[in-house]
Amino acid sequence: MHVQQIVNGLMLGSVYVFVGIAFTMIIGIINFVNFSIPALFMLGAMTAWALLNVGVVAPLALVAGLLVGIVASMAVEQVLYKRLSGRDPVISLIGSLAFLILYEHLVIHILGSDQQAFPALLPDFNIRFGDIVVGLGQLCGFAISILLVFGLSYLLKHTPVGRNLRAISESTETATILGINVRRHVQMMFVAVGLFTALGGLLFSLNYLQVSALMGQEIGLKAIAAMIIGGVGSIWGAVVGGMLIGILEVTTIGLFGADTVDIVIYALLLLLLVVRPSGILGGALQSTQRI
Amino acid sequence: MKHLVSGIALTVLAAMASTSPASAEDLTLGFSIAKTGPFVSLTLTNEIAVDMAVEEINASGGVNGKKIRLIKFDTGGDPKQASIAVSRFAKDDFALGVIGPFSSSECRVAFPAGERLKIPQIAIASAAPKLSEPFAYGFRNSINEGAIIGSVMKALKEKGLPAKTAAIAHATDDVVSKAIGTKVLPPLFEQYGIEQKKTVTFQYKAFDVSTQVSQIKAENVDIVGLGSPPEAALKLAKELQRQEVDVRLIAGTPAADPDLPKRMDGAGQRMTIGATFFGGYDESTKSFSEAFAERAKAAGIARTEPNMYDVNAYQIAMIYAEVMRRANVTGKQSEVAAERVAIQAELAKLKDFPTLAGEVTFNADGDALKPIYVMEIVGRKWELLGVYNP
Repeated sequence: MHVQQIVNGLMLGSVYVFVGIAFTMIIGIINFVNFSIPALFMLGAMTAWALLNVGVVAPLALVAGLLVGIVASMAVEQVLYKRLSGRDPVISLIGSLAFLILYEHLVIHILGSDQQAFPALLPDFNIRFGDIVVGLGQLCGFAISILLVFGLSYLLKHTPVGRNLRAISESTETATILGINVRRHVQMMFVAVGLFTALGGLLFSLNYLQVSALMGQEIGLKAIAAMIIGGVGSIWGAVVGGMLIGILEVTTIGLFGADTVDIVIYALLLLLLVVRPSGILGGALQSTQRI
Repeated sequence: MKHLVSGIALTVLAAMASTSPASAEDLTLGFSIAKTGPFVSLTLTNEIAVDMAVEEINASGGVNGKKIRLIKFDTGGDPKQASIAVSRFAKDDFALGVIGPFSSSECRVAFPAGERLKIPQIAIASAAPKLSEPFAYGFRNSINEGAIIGSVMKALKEKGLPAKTAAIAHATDDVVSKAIGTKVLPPLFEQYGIEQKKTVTFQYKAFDVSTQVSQIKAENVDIVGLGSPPEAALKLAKELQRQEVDVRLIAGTPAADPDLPKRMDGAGQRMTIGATFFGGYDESTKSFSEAFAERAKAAGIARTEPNMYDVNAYQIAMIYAEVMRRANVTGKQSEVAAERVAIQAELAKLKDFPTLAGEVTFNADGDALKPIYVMEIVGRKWELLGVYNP
């Protein structure tokens, strides 16, 4: 059973990793805490669920979920980055919170606030090794996250786009003077974040077979904690932080019960902020491994 | 400018009209609805049931020759809002009584507020033990979970179903779910000689209960006593299915959602619960269910089958009509305080009042006594195991 609990922890952590990376990508490049990310996670899943519910075929419903995630992310870019960049960052931060609430309540208004069962598109979306059950959705999510981290590392280190993104993350003004089309790169990043986060929501739904208008909130909070624990702006930090929180959560539930989970995680977060404000991997990596 | 001033004046007049107290012809009742919140799958349709009851009462001549007028307040399942609702009903709307609030969490704050204002409230679903006991004006048209789950245990024993060992799984962030897990199930298991091997907890909003299910799986028990709203019951049942744990869930009223078997989609087979309504029981419940379904469909609500809380809410409106009749209430604003006292006295005396789904009596604590229907999930529907009187 201990092995199953470790698997449970790693699989749970992979959900936080997925969303944590999305937060990191956007913070790392434009230093913007995009609180609308949990809503993008939810929009991908809820769109697919709503379409499946009215009889749309699964591949089309899943693609529509991804597209809605991209469009919603671009709306955030259009309003908060295009119009408000250069102003007090608090305005953008509050604006992204407003987007989170707006998207959630639009979905509540249209589809209701009930938790809904996501249809099992595959009869058993799990693999089994004897008594050990591993959710394929989370496994795919984790694999995609790791691939993305490697891909991002390669992109940042070896490609012109990566060099441009690193320049933007250092200073948008300097990047502009150097002739980099900052706006286009930022738009690309918002598209990637929308796509990646909506995909996370879909994989989550396929695995947990549940969706709701507020499904992104708890995951979003833990993903932010994962990002901070791992090291803000470090893509590997989001992976380490997410996994750590997953294992910690499972261990705490096993030892002390569900009520103590948040106490342990957020106490660790505060302790780390005091002892090592840069997080576990913050400052330890080369700039090419950071965004 | 002139148009603007007259526009503002009209708006102010309209606002005043909409918030003005009831006319002398009306008997006003407040209704604390929860159209969102933790129990939304149970609460969303309560309004349909109450509207049905009020329309029936008014269509048959009203009460003492007066129509019943409903004032609705959406609490969103939030205890703070439930407290604000009762205060508004009592002070601003001159209501004679309140239908609601819904949950035990809401009752914990709304009952003390109602007690200070001396306005009767009849909760729709609250079933946490002893919650209404200290309050003369707080009634609950629900049976305490000890009696409900006690009936489930009785049914298991009578049918000879396996129940030698048990685990408990309960939500910690909902008053009644926690009470079921900590105060109701352990003594019941002891009473029925069932060995309790494990207790696991979760928060009802938690999306992942794999850890808790792995813990249950390790104990290899016959039954799992569950204290949780339907959403969390759904998650737990799906995870039990995913981890291939073959166990019977037993639960009380928080999980009594008529749509649960469909939403389980194959999980949670043999889950056994107690409830105070079973739609297919007799002709009157069937006919109520049909009329309810038509309205739910017209309102565009996915669930068209009434749940026990819809029926509780319907019964509450009928109970108010009866006690207002007995107390000869007039609805006059000057008499409101005295008439609330008279209504409270009649409620406290209510005995064997015939309603849809059985006779209702309020006991000394202000809790209802009425028949309990024990049912289990078979396929995608609930099937009746037996009917028990508390």
